Amino acid sequence: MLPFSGSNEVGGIILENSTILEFKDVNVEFDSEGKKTHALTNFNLDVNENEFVCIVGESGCGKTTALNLAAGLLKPSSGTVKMNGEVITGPDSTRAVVFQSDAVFPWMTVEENISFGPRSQGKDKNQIEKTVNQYLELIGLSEFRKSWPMTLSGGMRKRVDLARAYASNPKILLMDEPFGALDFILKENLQEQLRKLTAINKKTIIFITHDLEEALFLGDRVVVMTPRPGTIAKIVNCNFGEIRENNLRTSENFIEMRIELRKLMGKAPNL
Amino acid sequence: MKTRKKASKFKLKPLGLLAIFLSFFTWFIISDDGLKLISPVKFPPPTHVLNAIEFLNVKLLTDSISTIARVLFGLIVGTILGSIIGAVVVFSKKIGEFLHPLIESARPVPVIAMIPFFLMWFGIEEPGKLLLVTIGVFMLIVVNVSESIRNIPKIYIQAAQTLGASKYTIRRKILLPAVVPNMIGPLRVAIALTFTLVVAAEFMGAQSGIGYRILEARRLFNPQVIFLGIIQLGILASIFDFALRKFMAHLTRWSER
Repeated sequence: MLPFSGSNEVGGIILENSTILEFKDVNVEFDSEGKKTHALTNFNLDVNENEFVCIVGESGCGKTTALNLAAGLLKPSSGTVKMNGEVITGPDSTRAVVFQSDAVFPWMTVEENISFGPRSQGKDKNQIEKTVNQYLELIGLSEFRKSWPMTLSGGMRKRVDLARAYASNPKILLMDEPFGALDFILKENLQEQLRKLTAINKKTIIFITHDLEEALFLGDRVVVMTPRPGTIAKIVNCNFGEIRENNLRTSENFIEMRIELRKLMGKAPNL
Repeated sequence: MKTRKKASKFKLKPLGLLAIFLSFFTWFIISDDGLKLISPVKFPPPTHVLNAIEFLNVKLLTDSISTIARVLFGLIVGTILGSIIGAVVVFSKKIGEFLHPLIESARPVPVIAMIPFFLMWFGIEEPGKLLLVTIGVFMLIVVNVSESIRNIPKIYIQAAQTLGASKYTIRRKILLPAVVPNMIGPLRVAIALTFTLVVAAEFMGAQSGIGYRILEARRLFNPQVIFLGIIQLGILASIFDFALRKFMAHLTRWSER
């Protein structure tokens, strides 16, 4: 079996995958109390349309910085970040973000949260209703449509957050450790659901995590980053198929790859 | 499913009733009605205060109405103006830079220090009183609104932006609801402040109002009327506070508070 490569072969004709997001020679420096910190150094990455890219690395490796650049919430110190060939100047609805912390609007019901994107974009009422129903069913929260987020559990709120991002119909979904604060079992199930969702509803996704297993389980490609300075150590293809189930985690291939990449991420500092 | 019950904050618990009962009881015991420990001139006994109700009769109602009208005016106009300016100061960097130092330096000045000016400008007419109360409430609200808007977690605004919300949508659908719970405390303080300022304004001269009645009673040496006025103010302020909490609880029914 050939590993997933940058191109698709269709009837003998090789079609280049179209790049939707492009980081070129990106550097980000922060000034903190007169000291310069290099958050991101010489960061180059092309993300293809409908590709699931996971960026993994320990804290301080610049992975969240990369995501904020893509979202338009941060500007690079040098280099360019382009979407469909155009430089990103600020946040907009083509790139939705699912943050690590709880960003579900507590003053809106589940339904109002999910419909916020399409409503803000002035979509047609019937269409919004349809979209909301579709995602409520998908995340299994149809009976909670009128509930306030505070009455839901953390896992349910995260699903609402995901559904809200999907419902706004972005070109790219940016996820910053969305399952970071959830317990282990819940996390595995949500990973499985997310992978299923992307198989049905093709989307370009950049997923940030510090969890190597999560990155390998979810990603079509995994970008391993190392800190000080924050830079890319390796990019690998994960050819584990479209729909992935929890038993993949114990397969030989998966474990081998995990061990190999773990070496790249270095040792824990002496405490 | 996890559900959290809202704490019943409005229910008067037996222990709370006991405290109120005990204070009235103590009053009764030490006063002229009971053990006669203090002179009725310095501290009127309950029976005298009850007599004062009869004595004032319809003035009890008309004074209350005058005071309530002034309180409502100051509270509503001060809060609306304060909220508008407080929000504008945050939204527009230029206007913020322009107004911030002025507001910050004027804010700690006690408004009652301006009473002599108000008397010179308006005499004992209504506009002076309303202006005094409105300025007081405005100064309190303007700072709290700015501060509350700035304290809204950035993540909500960022999330809204990436979902395609316009500036206007963010203000109306994100900032406005998010600021409400932070304003409960300041608004309760505003109610107490308003009553204080209205009484102060009525002290500076009026034809009606609870403050006016209290001052008049001092001149006529009528301690029971003074005491009745204090009780009247206590009851009215409590009703205002209760209504505000009810209303805010409805507006923030989504929150855990």
